Amino acid sequence: MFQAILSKEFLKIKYIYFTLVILFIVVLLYLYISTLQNFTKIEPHSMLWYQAVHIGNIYYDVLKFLPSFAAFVIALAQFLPEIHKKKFRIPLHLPINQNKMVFLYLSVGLLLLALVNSILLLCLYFISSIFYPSLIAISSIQTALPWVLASFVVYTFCVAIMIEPYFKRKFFLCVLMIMIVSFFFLNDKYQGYNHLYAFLTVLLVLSLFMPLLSLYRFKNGHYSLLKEKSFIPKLSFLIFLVLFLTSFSFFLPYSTKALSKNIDLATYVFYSAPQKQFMYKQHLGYHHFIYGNDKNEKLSLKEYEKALPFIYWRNLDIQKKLPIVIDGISYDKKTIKKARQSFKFAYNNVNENINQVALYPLFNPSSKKGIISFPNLMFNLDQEFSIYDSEDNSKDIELSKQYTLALKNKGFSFPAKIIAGKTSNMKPLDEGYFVLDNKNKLFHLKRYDDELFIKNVSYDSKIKITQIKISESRKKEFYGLIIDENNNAYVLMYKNYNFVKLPLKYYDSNTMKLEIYANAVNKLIRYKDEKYIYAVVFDKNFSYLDEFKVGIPQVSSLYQTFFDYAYTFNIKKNPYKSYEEYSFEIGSKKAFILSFCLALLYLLLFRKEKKETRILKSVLLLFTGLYGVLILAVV
Amino acid sequence: MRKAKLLKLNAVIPKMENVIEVRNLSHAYGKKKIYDDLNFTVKKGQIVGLLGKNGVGKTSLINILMGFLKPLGGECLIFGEPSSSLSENTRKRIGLLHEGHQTFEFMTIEQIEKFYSPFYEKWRKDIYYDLMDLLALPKTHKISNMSYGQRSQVVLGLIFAQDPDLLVLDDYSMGLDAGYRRLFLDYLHDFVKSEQKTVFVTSHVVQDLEHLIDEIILLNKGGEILKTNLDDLLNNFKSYTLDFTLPNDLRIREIERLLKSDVIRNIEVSKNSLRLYSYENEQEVLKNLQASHNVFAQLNHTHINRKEINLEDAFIGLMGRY
Repeated sequence: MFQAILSKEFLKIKYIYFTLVILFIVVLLYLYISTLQNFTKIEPHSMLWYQAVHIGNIYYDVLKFLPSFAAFVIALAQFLPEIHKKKFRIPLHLPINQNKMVFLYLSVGLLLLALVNSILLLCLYFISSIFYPSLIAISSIQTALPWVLASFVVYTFCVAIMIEPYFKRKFFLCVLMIMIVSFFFLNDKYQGYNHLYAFLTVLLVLSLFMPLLSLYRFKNGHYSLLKEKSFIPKLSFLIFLVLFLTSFSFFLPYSTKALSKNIDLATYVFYSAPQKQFMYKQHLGYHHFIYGNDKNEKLSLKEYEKALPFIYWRNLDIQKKLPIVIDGISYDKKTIKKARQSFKFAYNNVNENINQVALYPLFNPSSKKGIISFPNLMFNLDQEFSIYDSEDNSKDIELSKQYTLALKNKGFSFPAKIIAGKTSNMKPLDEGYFVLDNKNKLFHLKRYDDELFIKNVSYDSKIKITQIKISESRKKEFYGLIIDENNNAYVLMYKNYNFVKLPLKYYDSNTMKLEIYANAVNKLIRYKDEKYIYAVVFDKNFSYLDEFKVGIPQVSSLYQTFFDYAYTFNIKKNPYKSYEEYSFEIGSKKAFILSFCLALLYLLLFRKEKKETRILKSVLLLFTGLYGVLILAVV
Repeated sequence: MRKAKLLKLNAVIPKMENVIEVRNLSHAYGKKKIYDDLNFTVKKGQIVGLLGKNGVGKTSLINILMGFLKPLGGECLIFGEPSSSLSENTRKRIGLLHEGHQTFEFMTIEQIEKFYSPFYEKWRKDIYYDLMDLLALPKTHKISNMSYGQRSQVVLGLIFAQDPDLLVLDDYSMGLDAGYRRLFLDYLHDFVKSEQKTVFVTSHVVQDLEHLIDEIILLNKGGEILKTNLDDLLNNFKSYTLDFTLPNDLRIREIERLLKSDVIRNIEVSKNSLRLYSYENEQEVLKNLQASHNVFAQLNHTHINRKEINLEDAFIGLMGRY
């Protein structure tokens, strides 16, 4: 019987399917030719590797929606003839279990879809392998996998939409499909779903039940599922509720948050070297600013700018008021400019590539040249010091062996836990990489004039390093910032690789951005949470001087109020990660008060309904609030 | 003389004999009531025609019987199973012709036979190809390239090849010309007479069924039904013509309203004559006419003539023209 259905379905869609296969081949050929053109145009080729790994240029994004398009076409080709004049009744009358029949139909579609998707993934891997090292080729498959998984969801939902007999529900299933499928496309980073495949797979498996729910409705017309006794329709309906709640509890709060973020009320804090006090500037919206200092005095713009000569030095220069004298020392334009340095340390751009494609350019500046050219070689510190030559996309076995030995001789244990460095050549000098090895030893690694420099950096063994960010400046004061597992921040100084612990009481490296501003007199560190912006000022050598915190103006936005009342729970994306990570969050008390009122109202208003149904719906409203209202509106 | 009456569920009939049982069936589309407390049975070996005007719910009833629509109330049993959850074995025993001779048009004569055959153990390939031979088309001919009549033959062949115990034919005559209708009926006739097959058939070409069915169910708007034996109906239901010129001040609707009663079941009015339908004899009809209005007071038996009645006349007589 399966064979009969398989051959019937194939007969039905064979021409459309072959057209699809041709389309896939054409698009893949286009990908090959355009990649080839890029590699012909751009030198060195490692620049394209760099763009892929460190800039995040997904060179195969032309394939992004191709599997979903194929799914849509296959579903249409398979089920449109069945739905036309309700012909789907013919197979349903065949002596075979009807759920099994639908699954057989789905199997054929899914199988054919899997086949074109396999062609796509294999060709993508093959094309990638021609131009890129295997690390990137494997990564391309991982990055494209959610697109392929999404196509199966598109297929099952399209089938469900076509079988569903009523237009209103077809429309609603469309909305649900768009939301569920969006989960697979929210992240456009490399391997953005590496931590979420289980979630995506669950969504995919659950969506397989949607055609069964539509089948039930196709067979029974308007009949209510609440009265249904059979197991499969009940289970399908329950799964529909799960998918409904999952998607709505993510996208509704997500859009509410996105709307509320439009109100950008920024606060800036600086330290006035001449006045020895903190100054702040607050944006209250609509270009209305207020200025003040740490003594809570309100200032005029003129007073504010005057207090910060190292920020507004250009004004002073135009007014011919430079040089300025602070504490008896004169600072001219050149000194001020030279001393300026800023360094930003964000939660989501540090060391994340170690989890993704750990391939780094092996800079090799020449001491005789002023500019740093982008190297041909890129390296990885997994099982060994693997060096890849982008000219012919091969591993430099000799050099890999030589450098692996050199590292091992210095006591390095593979694989590396953290590789931190600036991977761009647009920098004043190259300090190479700071690498934390498998046994938490810190190494400074750089190559210049074809020589490899390796330095084992000794530090207090109690410090468990979790993050490193490197800053390369001609001032050569510090290499960068190190964070340990207790959220302590250290400046890694040039001098003796000293760790200088920073007194940042409220700093959380997982959720806060940190900025270091250096001028001719001070170093200022700023970080903020949702309520305050914190500033700590140091002297030039990171010796603590003073600190200050100022509240960030909180506006009671309508969106926030709505958020508080509307959602009894929500699925929240971790905003501090570049990859997709979700958590479940219970709503505020306000939301439960509202949902309780809704449930009560339902009990009182819909007395004509059967008691059990009324109670069931009220319980649903009690726990789901606004989502429950939507469910009752569409079910 | 026996008056057909609304048939209620007859509990005395043993269940085993009933192929179709409809009990207290009610259904509606929104506020539009289709059936209300509908009851009838179809026994093994019976050939039952379901007749009714367009839109009374013939196809809906077949959809309910075949499990494609869940009624609001009541129950339908097919071979003793609830129609909403027919088992595979029961579906195997039912040859269903969907309205409009629907089938998989993208397949060829040969492909569709190969598709159906694994589903039915008693599959009769010979019957299917006997019918296909009449088409004189190659086996590789695609169904989508066939005429409506040719397609109906493929569908009929597929149903007969299943060798079903119950045939449910939803408007088999739709889109067929007289020749194909005759062919269809001849084959159906031969098929059912050989073994104890049960047939439940609807058609909008009423006269075709006259030589096929032995029981008739007339379905009226709102779900009222009349189930009767065809011979009883044709023998007992009568048609009379009346040569009579209507006065100008009497409107057709008014005459209909005046004359329709338990005795005169229906009336057709034309310029110089009236046609009346009744289960009663000539005298009873005349008496009823005379009593209904002054203009009929002078009528006598010379004005009234009994006419031969066929199924179509009976249908119009009972259901009305519009």
